[in-house]
Amino acid sequence: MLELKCLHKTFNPGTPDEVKALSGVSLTIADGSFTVILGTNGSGKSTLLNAVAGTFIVDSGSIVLNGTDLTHLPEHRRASHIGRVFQNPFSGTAPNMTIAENLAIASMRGKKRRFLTALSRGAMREFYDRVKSLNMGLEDRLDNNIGSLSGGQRQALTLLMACWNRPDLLLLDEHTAALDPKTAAKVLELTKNYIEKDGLTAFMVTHSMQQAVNMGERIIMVYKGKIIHDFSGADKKSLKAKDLYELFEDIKRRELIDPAASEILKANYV
Amino acid sequence: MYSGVKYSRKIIYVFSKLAPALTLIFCASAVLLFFSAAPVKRSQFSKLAIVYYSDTPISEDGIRGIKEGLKNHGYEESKNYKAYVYSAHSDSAALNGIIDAVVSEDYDLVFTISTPALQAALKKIKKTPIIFSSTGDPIGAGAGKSFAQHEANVTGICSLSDFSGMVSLVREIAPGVKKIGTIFCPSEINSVLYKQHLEKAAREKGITLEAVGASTAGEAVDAAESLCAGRGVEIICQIADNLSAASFATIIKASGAARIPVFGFVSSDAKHGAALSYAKDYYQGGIDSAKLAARVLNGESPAGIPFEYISKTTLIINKKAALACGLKIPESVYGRADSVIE
Amino acid sequence: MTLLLGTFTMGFILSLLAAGVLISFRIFNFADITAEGSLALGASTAAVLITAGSFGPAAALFIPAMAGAAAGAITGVLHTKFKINALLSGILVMTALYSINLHVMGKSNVALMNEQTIFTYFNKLLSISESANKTVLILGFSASAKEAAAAALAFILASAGGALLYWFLGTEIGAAMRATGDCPQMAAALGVNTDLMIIAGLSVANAFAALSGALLASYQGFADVQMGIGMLVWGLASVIIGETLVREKSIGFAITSAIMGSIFFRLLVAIALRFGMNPNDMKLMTALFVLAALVLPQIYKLRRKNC
Ligand SMILES: Nc1ncnc2c1ncn2[C@@H]1O[C@H](COP(=O)(O)OP(=O)(O)OP(=O)(O)O)[C@@H](O)[C@H]1O
Ligand SMILES: [Mg+2]
Repeated sequence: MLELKCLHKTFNPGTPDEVKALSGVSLTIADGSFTVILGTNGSGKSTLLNAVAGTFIVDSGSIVLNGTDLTHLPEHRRASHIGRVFQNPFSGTAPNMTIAENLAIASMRGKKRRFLTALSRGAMREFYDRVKSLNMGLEDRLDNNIGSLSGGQRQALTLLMACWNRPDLLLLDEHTAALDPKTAAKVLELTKNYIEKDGLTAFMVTHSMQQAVNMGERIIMVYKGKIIHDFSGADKKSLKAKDLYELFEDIKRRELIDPAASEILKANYV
Repeated sequence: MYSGVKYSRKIIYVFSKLAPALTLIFCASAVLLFFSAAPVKRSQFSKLAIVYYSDTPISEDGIRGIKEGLKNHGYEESKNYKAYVYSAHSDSAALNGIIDAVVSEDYDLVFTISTPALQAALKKIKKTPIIFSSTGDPIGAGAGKSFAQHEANVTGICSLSDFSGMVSLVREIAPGVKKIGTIFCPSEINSVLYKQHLEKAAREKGITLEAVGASTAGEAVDAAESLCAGRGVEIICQIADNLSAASFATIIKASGAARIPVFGFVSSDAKHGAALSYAKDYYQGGIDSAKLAARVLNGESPAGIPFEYISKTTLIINKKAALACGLKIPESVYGRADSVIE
Repeated sequence: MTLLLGTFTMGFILSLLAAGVLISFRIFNFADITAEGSLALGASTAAVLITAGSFGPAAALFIPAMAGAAAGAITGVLHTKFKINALLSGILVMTALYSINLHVMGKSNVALMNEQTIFTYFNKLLSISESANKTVLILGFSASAKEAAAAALAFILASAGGALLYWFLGTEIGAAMRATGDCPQMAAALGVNTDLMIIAGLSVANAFAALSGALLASYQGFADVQMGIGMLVWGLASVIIGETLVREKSIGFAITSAIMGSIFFRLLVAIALRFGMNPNDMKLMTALFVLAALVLPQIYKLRRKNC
């Protein structure tokens, strides 16, 4: 179970660039559930995921995963519980290292790294088998640098790496956004398989209403660093892509009104 | 099923990748080997190498001195000898490369200027005679057990200044002086050594030495300021090292403002604004080492030639500079001066 | 032959430095100038240990390497924990090391003329006398036995250093270190303590630089506080020239190429000196060699594209 309590994060506080990226996010996620996060650009979705992963330490609030308080742990310590796939295919893999070496690093997530060869025969065999299960023909290219692969192949590998040692929590940040539709579908398919097979607790950010409707059992909509909608159970099931579009339109309208309204207020009272 | 790559194929692959590099290295080695093995043409020319470590006025003075000294002994450049001058630019790797080149080139004689150059040469040159100069402590540098008992192919000129002579001069000119000062460079072995010698010579005459360390030209500015301000230094006796040679103008400027006279250990110091210079200088060191070189070139073995100090101490007085800081130099000292700058 | 052997010896000794530079420059993508200070630190520590006499040859290599590792760790801590720019951290530690080296030696230069160094131990092992000028025949050329032994020892040590580094970078920890330099975001997400890896990596890099310095001092017979000056460029040149010679990036090839680059570079310099190049132009030539190594592959690539 993941419990987020009243998370706050302000970037560049006290400067003209001040951004309140999270302003009081509270959320409880049940074990083995698949949650989809929606929101306009800059609403704070990635920031929320980063806060959980520990890319930065939140200003206030608490993050507890399965009873372990993660709030003040550095990113690399949290990584033993958390698997991540990023939007940018370049962020999730080391381009100048081989597929096998990348997998070797992933296979040690949450374990103590030792002065033992990373590419033992046994390990190579396991890499081969698991990569083969991707059905992408990559198992014969274990000695190739990851930099020579396509974005889709990289994302599929990153996903494989994130799920290598069953993570308590899987964070997916628009991980198919940079891919062409066919590859995206393939990676999404893999995602579903992993989550179902291992019963993972997952968080997925997406901009696709259709994905949101088709996948997961809960939808959360974020706006200006706050959760403004939360659909689960029957609500979620009955939700259509169209309904979500309308909610988005709503937000857009609000954004248009907000500045205009403040202008009026300024004119009248300042 | 995963199967490892075959070893034989792997080895072939590795070698195919390394082949161009190996070929190039092989060719370069062959070139070097061929040319270092080629017999050197003998002629009436003596082939001399001059190796120095860093590009400083001291090194340049030394080279000038060597060439001048050789001339005194009948050696004319490009008439009966050719000198190859090598600078290591303060770079150890380069220094060793130069020494290797010198070793394989069959020189008749090698001059070294400065301590590291002598040390690198000592390690590798076992036959060709080495004549060193600009080395304050040849024993410490490993050239031998004593001035008379030393490595068989080595002799040279120890560039220690006449410290007690300088202190006597200070006493003679200003009998009441209690404190003299100098800037020294902790990273130059000669500089530290000279400082110690000057300290000892001064102590023997009841004078204390105030020494301020500086390692770079930038620090020398601060060191000069601090030496001249409020330390009670009455005369600056500036020891000769690479740093002070490079930043002598700075010292003159600071001391001029405080009206503290400067006595220098390098003969050009007087010209550059010191009240006087009492110098066994590197130029003279060059001349003296050329004298030893001439003996060796005439067939004498270096083993039998003891190390020597720089032969002559030159006293030069700069009258204007002395007057400017209110220093009265007695007539007896004027009488001894080799030259006086009006 | 002496010239060739000397060149190879220097090439192998400095290839350890190149291996260190390979770590900072190619794994962490910045030229760590701490290496210049560490090289001199290694030389100073070795010189002091050797003159003290009561330490064996292994200690006179191991302790300097540890000293270099400590220096590298400080640079790493400055960079990761205090968020000081990597280049600046290196400059700070290098500057500090200058004074430290003076303190270590107690003066600016220590002579090792007739001391027992690893080279003399090796001679003893091969029963080559220090005083007699024994010669050996190599490929039909006569050469000083001592020089040949020195070259052999340097080769053995460089190979051992290279093999050690190859093994280390292939371990679980080594792989994590490379990933830290290659893609820090990925490394952190997979549980790698990236700060620690940078600190450890710079430690290893500077241990190699110090080892190189310790050997250099033993070989040339003295340690001087100014020994490190300009050394980073030698290391970079070796790495870059090596990469141009061996167009293969995997870690084993990278290490081999750095060693080969070091050798080839020394050879070029020796040839240039041998052919009477004005030594005043040496630095200029170094820059030109490196430039050529950087530019030639690009020209080659362009031509291939145009065809
Ligand atoms: N490291 C940072 N420093 C400063 N501001 C930041 C930082 N990270 C995010 N922000 C700001 O926080 C706000 C939320 O950003 P975030 O990346 O979470 O949005 P998002 O919902 O993921 O948007 P998108 O859909 O475009 O990915 C934005 O205004 C962004 O500019
Ligand atoms: Mg985002």
